[in-house]
Amino acid sequence: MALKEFFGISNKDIQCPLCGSRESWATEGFVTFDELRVALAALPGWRAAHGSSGGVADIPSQIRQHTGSPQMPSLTQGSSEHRRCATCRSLLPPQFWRSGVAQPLAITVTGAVGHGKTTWLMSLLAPPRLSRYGIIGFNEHHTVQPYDFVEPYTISMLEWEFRSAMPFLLMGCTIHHPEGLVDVRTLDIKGEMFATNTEDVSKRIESHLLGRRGGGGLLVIEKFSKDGDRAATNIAGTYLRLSTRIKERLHGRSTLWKGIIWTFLDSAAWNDAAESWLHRMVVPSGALIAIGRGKADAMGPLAANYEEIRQNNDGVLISLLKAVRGDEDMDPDEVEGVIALLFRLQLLYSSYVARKRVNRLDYFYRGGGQRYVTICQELAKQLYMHWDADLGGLSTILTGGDEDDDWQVLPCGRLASPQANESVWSDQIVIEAISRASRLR
Amino acid sequence: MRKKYEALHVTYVQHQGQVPTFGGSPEIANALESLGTGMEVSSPWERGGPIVWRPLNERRFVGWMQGIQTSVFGRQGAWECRGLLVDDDVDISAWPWLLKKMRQSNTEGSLDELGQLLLKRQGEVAPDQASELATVLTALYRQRRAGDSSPMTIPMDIPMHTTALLPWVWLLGPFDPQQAYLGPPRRTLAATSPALVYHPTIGAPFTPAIQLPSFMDSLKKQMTLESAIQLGKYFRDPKTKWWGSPQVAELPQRQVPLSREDAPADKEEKARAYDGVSRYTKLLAPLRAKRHWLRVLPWALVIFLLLYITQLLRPIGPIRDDITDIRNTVHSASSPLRKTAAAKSALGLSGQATPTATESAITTSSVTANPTQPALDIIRETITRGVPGVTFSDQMKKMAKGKPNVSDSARLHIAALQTVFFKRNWTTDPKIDGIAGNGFFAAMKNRGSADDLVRLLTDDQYLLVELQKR
Repeated sequence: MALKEFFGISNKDIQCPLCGSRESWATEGFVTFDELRVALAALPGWRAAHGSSGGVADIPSQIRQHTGSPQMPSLTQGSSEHRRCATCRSLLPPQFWRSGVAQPLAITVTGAVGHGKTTWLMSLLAPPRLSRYGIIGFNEHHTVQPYDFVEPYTISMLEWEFRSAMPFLLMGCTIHHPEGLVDVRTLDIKGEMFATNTEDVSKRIESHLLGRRGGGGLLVIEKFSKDGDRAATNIAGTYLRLSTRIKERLHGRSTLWKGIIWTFLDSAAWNDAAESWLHRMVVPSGALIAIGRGKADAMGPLAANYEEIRQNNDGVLISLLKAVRGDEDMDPDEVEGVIALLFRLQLLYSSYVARKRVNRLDYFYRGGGQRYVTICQELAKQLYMHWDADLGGLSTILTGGDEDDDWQVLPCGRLASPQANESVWSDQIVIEAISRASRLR
Repeated sequence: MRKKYEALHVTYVQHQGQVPTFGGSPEIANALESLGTGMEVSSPWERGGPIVWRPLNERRFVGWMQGIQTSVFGRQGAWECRGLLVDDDVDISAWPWLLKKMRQSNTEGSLDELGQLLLKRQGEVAPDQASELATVLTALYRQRRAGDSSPMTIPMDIPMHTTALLPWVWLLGPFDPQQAYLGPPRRTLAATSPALVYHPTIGAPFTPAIQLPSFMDSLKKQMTLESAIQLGKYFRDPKTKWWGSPQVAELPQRQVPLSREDAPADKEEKARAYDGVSRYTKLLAPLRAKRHWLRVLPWALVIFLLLYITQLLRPIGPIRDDITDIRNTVHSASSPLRKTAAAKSALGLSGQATPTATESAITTSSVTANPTQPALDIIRETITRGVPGVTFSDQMKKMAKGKPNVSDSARLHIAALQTVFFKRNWTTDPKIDGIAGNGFFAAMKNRGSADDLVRLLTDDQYLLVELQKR
């Protein structure tokens, strides 16, 4: 008992979201990735919990060349700091069982195949240290420490962004920020699962979000594209069922964080329709049009236009937001053009902070950055509602029919750099997690 | 009436993921992930290979599986699989004979045709046969016999093994084909449930080359499906102690009797085994005979030429020269590791080791593991380093650096002979290509009266010494 307290383990708090067990035990020693895969494939309980009837899928061969077969916590009982569920033997990241000062927060992402669920979860779990397009970036006061293992894989394997062949993965990370710690536990679900056994999926999500104390986030990863590819899955239906059930079970105990991570905004193209719409609807629109025409990978010459927009407490930006919100008849081309403009505005924010060499964290919390980011997110939400109206109305489900319901859209994208594709504003999820956890205190 | 089989095609579809395009269910596609994810997608292994498995503990699946290159869908880890889900009472033995059709069928119609042929056991053509087949089979039978529970690995180092090794192992291996699950070729073991019996593993090491029972020579393209099935049954018959007998362990050092008269009369067990072998290979006798002649023909020609040229009608007996001096010379020219290896006389060109009086006293692990290694290694090293005055072709250099198979080993030996011939001015062409062409034979004819020609051809240690002389 004393030992359990020492390690911050409370039986009441432990729950495996995959099988529902409240018991766990510590492991002893390590085995290689390949040995573990073979051993797990022989455990029917583990396979059933992970929804993997056929066995334990390997990583793609190209990635294997880089990662090899790393050491993983074994299936033997012992006294190490790694713990497994006593029933299904799944490896539980500490964020699933540890109690203590950290504020717990559960996050589940849903979404269609290929929309980037694992990719964007990774930006929360293991944010790139050198991203040039972050909002606050990371330093010694503000870091994210991931749990190394995402059984049967590791975080370093998932950083290679391969198609996740395992239906369910448990991940964990701890966000260190100036005001405290946040223990984030996440459940990653393979996209194909939303087309088949959605009841099984819903049960696990529910168990994950409600299994322990602390708040829960149910996020949808939605990819911007001209042709909606959501139809093949039951994301909207699953989401509706889940949010209703969870709301009932929460009984006002906590709120459910609902949101869309809207990815691939970089694929939206600026166009003439959007330009004439801006002429018509926003005054003055000169700076916005200049930015819209600008090249995403060369924002430098547009710094003056950006400064113009930031004057008067982002007055032009607020005019744009009002125009988008007020015009219910925006056509798809106009919407796409303004999405392209939004993405450039996001890039300019990051470029501005980098050029001015100011502390990103200070700039966000005390230099007007937070206000700018919030306006962009609100603009993204309005644009999303326009875009989504033709695709089955997920936004209507998110609002639950209530216009004032709390949900948000986090706009993201990628930009090709000489080194790699860099994520733009990927740390939004971390900022939101800190903000949500603080509210739950 | 319900069909005894169902065509299945699973592939990656944009916006839908890894799903069946016809047949099966999404659950089956999910179950197959453990086999498909992690398959090679780059050349030369991108073609994939056959699989026999039971997804979801339901019907067996027999088909073809391959990875999909990242560039096709922009996703790493996608794969494609096509084939038939068949009822348990269907005999699927014929699939090795339908391999080509199985690889090419990806429509419901073509898979249906495949199913019809499978039901009727109408094979099209026997699969090719890799020269490593018998080695692999022997290793697997030994593993089974020893009760070793580690996965049964089918080593593969060239893509040809996919079609020339896997079907044969499935058919002739130590497990009943109707119960044996065969995975597709991968670099890593697939972790599946139900577990695979055979894991074709790219880059896994082959066991040391062994001397094989002569009936293995009978496995030819023209072999019928029925005789292959019979042969497989014979191999697996627990009464047959051929593979599991203590003599098997000594096969690398012994010549298996080629006729009944040669079989040790004092060992009834061996004789019984031979009886079984001859009974089952009777059908294949003509082919076997052809095979035997093909193998012996080149060396028969060489020996005939030698006898003709040198007018030596005496038999080629044991070499009586004092080998100690030669050995010392070789030792002084080799690395410490090679010294122990070279201490044992290696196989000659005829594939027979020349025993010596001192040899039995020197036993090293490398020599016992693979008696063909030492001489060949030194030849390879010499070719890699180069020999003043001669030019080794690029192919020879590549062969010397790589892992030589049986035919490569023969060419390396010939290259060594060509080099010595050139050094002795028997030939004028400094380009060494390892091919025993007209020039090679002409050199022997012209200079064949030299006393040591026979020795050069039969004693590898002597050849090495001559090769390394300045």
